[in-house]
Amino acid sequence: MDEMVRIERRTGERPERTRWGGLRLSMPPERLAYVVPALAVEEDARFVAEFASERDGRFYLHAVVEIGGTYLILEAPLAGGRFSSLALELPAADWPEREMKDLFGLTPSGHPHPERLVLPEGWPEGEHPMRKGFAREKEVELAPPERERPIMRDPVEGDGVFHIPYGPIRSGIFESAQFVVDTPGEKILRLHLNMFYKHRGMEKIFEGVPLEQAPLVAERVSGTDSFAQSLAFCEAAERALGVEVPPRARHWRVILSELERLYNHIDHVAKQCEAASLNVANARFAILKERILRLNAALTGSRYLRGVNRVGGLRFEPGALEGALLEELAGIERDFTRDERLLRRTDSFLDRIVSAGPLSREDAAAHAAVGPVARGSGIDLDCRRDHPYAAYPELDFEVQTASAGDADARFDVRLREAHESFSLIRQANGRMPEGPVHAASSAPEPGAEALGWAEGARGEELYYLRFGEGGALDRVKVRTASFANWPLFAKTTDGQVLTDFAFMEHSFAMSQAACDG
Amino acid sequence: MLGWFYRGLTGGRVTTPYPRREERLPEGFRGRPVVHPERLDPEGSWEEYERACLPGAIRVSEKTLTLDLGRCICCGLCASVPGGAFTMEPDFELAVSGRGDLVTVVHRD
Amino acid sequence: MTREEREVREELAGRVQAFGRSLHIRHVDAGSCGACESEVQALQNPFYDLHRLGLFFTPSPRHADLLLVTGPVTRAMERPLKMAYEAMPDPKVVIAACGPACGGGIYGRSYATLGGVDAVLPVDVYVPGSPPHPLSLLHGILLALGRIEQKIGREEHVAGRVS
Repeated sequence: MDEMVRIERRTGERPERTRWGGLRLSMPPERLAYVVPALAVEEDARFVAEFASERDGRFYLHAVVEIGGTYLILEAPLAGGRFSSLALELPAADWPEREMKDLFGLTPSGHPHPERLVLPEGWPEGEHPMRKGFAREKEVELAPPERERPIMRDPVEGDGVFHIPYGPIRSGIFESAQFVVDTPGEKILRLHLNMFYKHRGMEKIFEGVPLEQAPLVAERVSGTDSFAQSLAFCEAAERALGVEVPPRARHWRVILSELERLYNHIDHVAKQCEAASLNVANARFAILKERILRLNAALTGSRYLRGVNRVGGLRFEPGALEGALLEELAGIERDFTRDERLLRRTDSFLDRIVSAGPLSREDAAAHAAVGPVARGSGIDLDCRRDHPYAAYPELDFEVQTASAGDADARFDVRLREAHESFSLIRQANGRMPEGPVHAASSAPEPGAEALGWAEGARGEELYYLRFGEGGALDRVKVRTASFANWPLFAKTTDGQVLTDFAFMEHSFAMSQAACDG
Repeated sequence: MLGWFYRGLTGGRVTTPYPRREERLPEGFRGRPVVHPERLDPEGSWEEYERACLPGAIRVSEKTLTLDLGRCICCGLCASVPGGAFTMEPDFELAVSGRGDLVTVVHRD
Repeated sequence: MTREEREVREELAGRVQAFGRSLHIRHVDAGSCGACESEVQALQNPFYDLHRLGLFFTPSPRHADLLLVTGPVTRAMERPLKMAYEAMPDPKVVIAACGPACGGGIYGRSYATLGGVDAVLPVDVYVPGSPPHPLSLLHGILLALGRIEQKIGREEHVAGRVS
């Protein structure tokens, strides 16, 4: 196995192949600090996640990379409260390490700017919610804010340069987040992202929730990715428990995943039309989105596909996708195709998104971007093909990429993906196997761990989970596509104009709830 | 632009007449859980309903079972508990003025 | 409902009828999962079209009559939410729109969340749901404006008997 050789070359050790199919390696923390960048830079490994955990009174540093199509988990026990930062060499490690500092109180030595990221402003020193000793319900007093300016790092200063804060309450129906723009009036000199206003402490909520109910927590990590989140969680648990999900459930998981991708991609188009004041187009795509949500409800009782995934398969047999419902789906595809064709000929619209928010391939790769954001900048990655799950190995589809890296490229990638989604749904539905939709599983063993993933509309949604005593969830790490991609947004706005802000933001189409956890 | 102008005229009307006329959501839509007191055994154990509910919308005490819609996440797990004391209904006119209006209490006697 | 609350509703209801004035809604996301925003946005799609009812979303709290809040209220959103409410002129009504906004949902009261909007603001109408259907939101908005009836209420039953 090629990856084994490459990993051994950089680490001096042969990784173990885990029960769940990925690779695993333990090492001292100083070695991990060298190994991860070496794998990323020398072996073309993709940085996926960096996080901490606590067991038996000790902290552990974890990193996940993808090398040669396989996920590798690296683990290092920490002697004290510090670890060597990877952020200087791997920009994608910036936010994860600041998150670890806030939530676990572990200091990334050498991190260029280890400021507060996740916890609210005014949070006192010494309180770290993800530590085992910190009760989730603990109420911590916040110091009142004292600053006179919005929070910025390294702002562009100069005569006539303003620092304009937008948010956290936005002008429109948007999720809360703050953007601070350094601008002389129209041109964006620098963008500062102040996010995590929506931090609800999802990872802490998971701990202690019975496995039967845990997918409900995953669904609420992000409401417009509910199915992808619960699927990634369930897959992680299924791998840890060695459960084989019945083929019928695997096919349904494809259909429902693609319906979720469809309504999100259609929503992205509707929002771009709205930003361009193309009101008829906006209304038509909004109608298409609503028709999909109604189809979701007809099949599962939930417009957002909630309460469907269960560890071992599905909670119930969904409504059959046949007759009137199948005709409706075909009608949605027809209308979508017609409207897409007209939109692609509407120059006044295209003018707004072409060359808006450019993201270079180098920046996307350095920041380990995922999903349509990565694919629009020429990075060819997609979990459905690279780490097939559910019924994807049995189905035909092409991963869509573009090279321009602008809002138009991301628009183009999503439209082409939408067509693949319609095709995948027809394929999975056409070959729907008979049989049950759920397989029972035995109780989890203490120490059992696994990764789960799903290619949601926004990209790779990844879960790490580890079981503790009595089969309880001991640690759940949620690495959403939105958390991975949001930092990159600030790289696409330099030198752009304020009037194009909406197009650039919509072209990323990230979920704030998913990012903030 | 003319293309969108004509397309806007030919779309037809899809707007709901609600509230002028009644609207009904399809059977199967998980609008809210409803408790059927006649299916709760006054002598039996009701613990399983409380255990099924992650957000704690269903609370069981020695003498009562309380369903608080204000905590419900419409997951439908309560409706899967054998006994059928809970069903999911496609109701949507669920808004209330008082927090207490979201509460249903069933007494053992 | 207190007499004061009833008067607020009546005044807002009267504005639309008597003066043909539209009513403005300011939405604030106080930490929702994101599905609620999608359903609030849906109110503007041709299926629900809340404009036909004289209802409009406004970006400014100073022009708003109604504050529609989604999410359990995270600690970080407490202050911005209060500021938006205080910026709204009287008369105004507050709607807690979604399960977590009503009663905390799965987040409850924790290091990060306050357990519902009424921990921070006086709430006039509660709309449960996860997320609330756009028609539920419509019902809740109209209830807050005194234009529709409440359909459910507190119930007490005895086990083993049909009620």
